[in-house]
Amino acid sequence: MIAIERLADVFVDVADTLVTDFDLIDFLHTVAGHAAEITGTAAVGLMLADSNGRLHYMAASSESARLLELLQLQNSEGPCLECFNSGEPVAQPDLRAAYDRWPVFARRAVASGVLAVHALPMRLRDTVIGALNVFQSESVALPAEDQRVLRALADLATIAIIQERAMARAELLNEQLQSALTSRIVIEQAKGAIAQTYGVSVERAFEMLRGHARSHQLRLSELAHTIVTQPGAAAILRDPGAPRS
Amino acid sequence: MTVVEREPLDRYERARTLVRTAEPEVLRTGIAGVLDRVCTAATGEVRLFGASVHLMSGAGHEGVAACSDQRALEWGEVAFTAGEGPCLDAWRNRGPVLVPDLAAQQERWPGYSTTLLGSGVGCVLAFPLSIGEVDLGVLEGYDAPRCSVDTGTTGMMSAFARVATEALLDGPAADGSMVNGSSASQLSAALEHRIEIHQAQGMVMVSLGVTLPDALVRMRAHAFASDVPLLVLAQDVVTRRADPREWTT
Repeated sequence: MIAIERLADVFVDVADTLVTDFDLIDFLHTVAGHAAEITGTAAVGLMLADSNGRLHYMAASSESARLLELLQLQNSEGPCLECFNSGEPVAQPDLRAAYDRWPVFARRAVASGVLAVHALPMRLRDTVIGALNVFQSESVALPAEDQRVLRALADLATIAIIQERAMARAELLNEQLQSALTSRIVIEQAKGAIAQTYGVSVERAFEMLRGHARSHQLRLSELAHTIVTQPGAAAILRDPGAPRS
Repeated sequence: MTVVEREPLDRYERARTLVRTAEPEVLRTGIAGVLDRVCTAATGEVRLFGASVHLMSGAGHEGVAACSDQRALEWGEVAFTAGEGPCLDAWRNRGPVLVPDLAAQQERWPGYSTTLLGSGVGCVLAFPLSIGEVDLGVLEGYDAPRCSVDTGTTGMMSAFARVATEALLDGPAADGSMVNGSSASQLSAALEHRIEIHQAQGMVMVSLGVTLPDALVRMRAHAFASDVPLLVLAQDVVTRRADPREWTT
């Protein structure tokens, strides 16, 4: 069990990295490192799911090859995958008793000296984004207090990641909306300018705009932009359907 | 308006439930439909005259994308006609703007307050739809003059604003997948009713021989002077019931 004073330091340190423009990978490594410290000698890895539900290694308390391998294996079987799928913690205090449950993972883990494994979901309400994986070299169950602290750490990391993703989506949406609107609006404005110049309906104006863009191989929004920004530019259109004067 | 005091998480859950079951006047699909339900649910729960959702982009105010009813759409569009109002301030200052007595704010928004007070609205509550550093729009509620604004009201409106923000980010599927082109195109389709404003702007530009931005300024000025919504004025220009060359303002 970690000392209360140290625990406070851990959460202050994690919160300190949650500034604007924080680096997600750096933040997750900080979380993994602290999670390892809380659980004593254990190694900790973090897996996050992509939009297809496939788990990816994101960060670990150490970059040892065996740890990375044990994490990556879990796209087909293992505590992380089970935990991610169910959204509930998975505990296996003795991996030697789990050869049937995870034939490949359990054997590899035991062969590389990992005897106990715990997985905690990274979950906010009904959204599971990944799992936190604890590997121990002794066959023991994690004390309930340690599990609670890890849970709190995983929750904090989850909220930070969800917030970061939402901000990225919002920025993207904002850009897409602006460009969608800008090109639409300029076309409507050009339709109005053409309609007024030639005394035709806006529907007819659009046909003229499109006809001119096609025959001159111009992008519709570029031609529209020219028409509304250069005085008298609407006159460059000739109405192919109207009698010539 | 009075609202029962609740804990923040309870308010959020209640807002989500109310939005799911809300029945707006006009049923639309997609994100616009969800936002209409947010407006309808907020109007019912907070006992407002109506509510609307303004869309904002880097370029500024893009128009009202959703509303509880036709009146709320018109009240919302007044900010676009006047080029001022609580929704623009809420967006710029990135925080709620609460105006329990619009009559006392006539110096702050002269054109806006005159028009809204004239249509019976005397209280406006604007809540930005923000996430982190990004602002997507504003949820705005309208009520009778000198309404009481308590923490129950602001808390509940904030909860509805959060539901609206999530709808914008997740789309109607709310499956957490990345925004694709369709969210943006659905939203631009929700502004379809404003197409005539842009068409009229192009017509006024040619008709008066002014620049495009000046054309909008002239349209706004004339709409305000003749006490007509900008949208109606634009329709008159497009159908040639109105001739901009006869405008004296």
